Amino acid sequence: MMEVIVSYYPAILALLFGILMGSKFRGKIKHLLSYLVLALIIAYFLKAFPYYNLPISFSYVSAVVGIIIGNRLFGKKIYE
Amino acid sequence: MSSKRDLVVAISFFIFGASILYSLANMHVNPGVNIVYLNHYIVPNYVCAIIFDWRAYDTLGECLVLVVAVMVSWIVFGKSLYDNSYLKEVFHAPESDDYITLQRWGDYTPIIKFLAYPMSILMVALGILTVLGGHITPGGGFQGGALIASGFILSIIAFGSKSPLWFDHKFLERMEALGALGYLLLGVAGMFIGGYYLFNFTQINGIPVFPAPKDIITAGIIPYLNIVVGLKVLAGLSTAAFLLSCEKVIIEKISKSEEKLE
Repeated sequence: MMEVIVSYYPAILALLFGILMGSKFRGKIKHLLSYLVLALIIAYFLKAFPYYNLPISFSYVSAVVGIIIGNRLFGKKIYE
Repeated sequence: MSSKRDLVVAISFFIFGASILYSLANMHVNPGVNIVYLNHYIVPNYVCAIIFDWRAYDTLGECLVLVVAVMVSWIVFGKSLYDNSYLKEVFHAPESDDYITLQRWGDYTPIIKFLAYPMSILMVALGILTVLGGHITPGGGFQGGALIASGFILSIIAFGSKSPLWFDHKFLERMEALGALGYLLLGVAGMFIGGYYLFNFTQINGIPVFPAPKDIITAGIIPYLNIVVGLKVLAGLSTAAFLLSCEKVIIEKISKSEEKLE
C-alpha cells in the first residue's frame, strides 16, 4: 500500500491540482475520449519523473483527468 | 472589519520580520557550500541540491517582485475600471471611440479557436506537471505557474470575454493570498522544526512529509514550496493579463457614466 502511495503521490497531487484548475473551465469539456488518448500519448513521450519506475507520466494523465472531473463537477456556465 | 484586518496584517508582518531577523542572526555560510551540503546533508544529486533548497530565499524575493509588478499593473490599468478618461487622453482617442473592446478581438479566426481550447487544457496539465516535478527535474513552481497562466492567456486571446478558461477576480485574489501565505507559513514551520527559516524538513514523527522513492526522500517540503509558488505565479501573471484585457469593463463603465451625464 505504502509503495503504491509512494509511486503515485505526485499523480494524486496532480489530480487535486487538476480538479482546482478544471473547476475554472466554463462550459462542458466535450470529446473526453480524445483528450484521454491525447494525454496518454503525451504522457508516453514525457516519461515518468526520474527515480519513479513507471512506464508513462501518470501525473500528466491524472492532471488531465482532474481537469475533466473538476470541470464536470464544479464547472460553471458561460454567461455572456 | 478594517481594524481586524490591520491586526492580522500587523501580526503577519511581525512574524515574518521576526523570523527573517532570527534566521539572519543565525546565518553562517561555509565556503564550497555545495560540497558540504552533498557530503553531510544527504541529497541525491546536484539538481536537487541546487534547484530549490538553496534558492528558497531567492524565490521568496522573486515572488515579492511579482507582487510589486502586479500591483503596478493594477495601479496603471486597474484604475481604469473606475476612471478611464485618462486612457483616452494617453492614446489620443476620440471620446466616442470604443476600439478597445474585448468583443472585437474576442472574435478570432476559427483555426485559432479550434486549437486554443484543447491547447489550453493540455498546457494547464503540463503546467501542473512542471510544478510537481520541480524538485527532481528542471522546472518548478515559477515555470509551471507561468505555463498555466499562458494557457489562460491563450484562451483569453482566442475567445475574449467568452473564454472557456476563466479565472475570476476572487479566485485570483485567493490564489495569490494562499500562495504567498503558504510559502511564508512553510518557512515558519521549518523554523519551528529545524531552527532556520525555510528549513527543509523531511519527516514529522517518522511520517515522511513527501512520500517518494528512497533516492529522493530528501525532497521534504520542496514540492509543497513549488506548489504554493506555482499558485502565486499563476495568480500573479493571470491578474496582470486580466487587467490588461479588461477593457470591456472599461467600455461598460464609459457608457454607464455617459448615460448618467446625459
